[in-house]
Amino acid sequence: MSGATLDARVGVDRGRYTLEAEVHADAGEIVAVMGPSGAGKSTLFGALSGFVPLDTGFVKLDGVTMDAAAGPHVAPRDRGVVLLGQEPRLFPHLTARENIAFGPRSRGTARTAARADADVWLEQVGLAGLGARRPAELSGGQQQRVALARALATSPRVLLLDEPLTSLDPETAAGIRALLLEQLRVTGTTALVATHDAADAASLASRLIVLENGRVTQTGPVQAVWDAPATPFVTIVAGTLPRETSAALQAEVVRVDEGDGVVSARARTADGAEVVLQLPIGTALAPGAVITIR
Amino acid sequence: MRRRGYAPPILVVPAVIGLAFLVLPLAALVGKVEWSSLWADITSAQALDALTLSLGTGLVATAFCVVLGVPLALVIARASGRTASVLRAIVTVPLVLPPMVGGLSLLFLFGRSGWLGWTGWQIPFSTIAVVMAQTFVALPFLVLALEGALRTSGVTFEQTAAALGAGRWTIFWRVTLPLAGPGLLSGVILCFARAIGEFGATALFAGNAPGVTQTMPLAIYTAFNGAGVSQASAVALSLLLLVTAIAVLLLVRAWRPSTSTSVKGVG
Repeated sequence: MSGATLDARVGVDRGRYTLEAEVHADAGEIVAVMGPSGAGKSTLFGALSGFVPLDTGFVKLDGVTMDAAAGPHVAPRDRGVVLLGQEPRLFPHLTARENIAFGPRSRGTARTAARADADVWLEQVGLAGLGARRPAELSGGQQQRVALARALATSPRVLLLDEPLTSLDPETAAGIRALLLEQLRVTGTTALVATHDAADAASLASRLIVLENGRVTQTGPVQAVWDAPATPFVTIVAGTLPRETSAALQAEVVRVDEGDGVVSARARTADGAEVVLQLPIGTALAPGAVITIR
Repeated sequence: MRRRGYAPPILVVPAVIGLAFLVLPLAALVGKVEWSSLWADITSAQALDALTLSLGTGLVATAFCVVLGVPLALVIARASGRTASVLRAIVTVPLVLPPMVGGLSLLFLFGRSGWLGWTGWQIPFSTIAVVMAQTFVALPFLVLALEGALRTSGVTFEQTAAALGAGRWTIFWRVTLPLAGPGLLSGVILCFARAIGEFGATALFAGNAPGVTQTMPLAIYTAFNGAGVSQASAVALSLLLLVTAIAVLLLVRAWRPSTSTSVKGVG
């Protein structure tokens, strides 16, 4: 099976804290979930995968109810909703190959077929030849690659990624991010990605759901959410986006005024837009100079 | 930095005395062994009876402990805090109870005038009684060792396995038990050692019939009361039990959960 359409209204009441979130993802779509710590992302994922019981609402895959407060309750093993967390959680007593083969073998695939399939997956995630290693003999990034392969080897209907890059160093994270993007596209897997990183949300997902205090406060295409933040949280997160995402502007200085403790320079870009720059007093800038704004 | 801390140096005296008190008696036992006739002493008919009976009942009792103890340990490990504490306390009772009391209790349950006397089962003073007495005293060792290991490994790997599509039995055999493997192994070894060393409960509940219920510890005791096996055989059997105990300790140490079970990688 390949990615399913996910439709869910998850209501979980923990007394002091309630989660009431509506989530939708089209088949094969990647949706980012962002929110402050404690906003309910983990509870949401737990409910979708079937480990946290619903108090209200439902979870539907391709229109079929997997979970509802009044029943039915499809067991986690029969849902095909697989969680890939911050920790790779590889089975420490199994080799990388056996870890990847675990899911298919549990579903009745013959041992040899499952292992051969696992070797193909190892190659897909860039770990060809490391199948005989145990998790303790792999680096953190390699473990996360095995965990991704193990999740995808079960052809999940929905893949839940809970901060999959957080515990990795930036370079390793970049490699895994590229791998995630490629493999999710290739396999057409529906995925929800919880992340703290605006850049991850932008690079991985097409849509964004913002979860705060157990409620969805904003949702829409990722860029649209950044452009029109509805809450202080979104404003702050959008502000952390690296500037490289917007192209550098070339502008020609057309006028320079000094006074009031600042040098103010008016510059015009090639397409006619004008910007006024407030610069520290003493900045030497003359009309006709070309400046680059990032 | 003073790595050895600041304990008064004079404390080393009682420490050495304590150690000597533990080691010297065993050394004296080894000194008493008549090495020239050791093989003949061990293989004398009565000693051999006791030896084979001990090994056989010890192994069967260990098997019972595994069949009953693994599920019990799992139940305790997955129970919530309060229930787990109560269950753990119950399991610990036979561990701290004088074995004689255990034997007496078994007699009052299974004896002819005991609670289950109406069934007509002829359990006391049989080889089955030996196995039951051993199981009674050895079970806590296995349960407590395994329970700790199961609690430590937790349910996160089980949840991962379930999400990947594994059923309960697959998870039990391929995830839960292997993860608790070191705890299970040390539990089994300790359990076996306790079973073959069992004396008090066996003496009361199973008696002291050569070839039927007279295990090694009972044979040794009987020899020094002037009956049964020769004293030389008793010393030889004692040596055998001592060697077994040391071997067990070494095995348990060797299989202690090592750092290799830690999951975190580097870089």
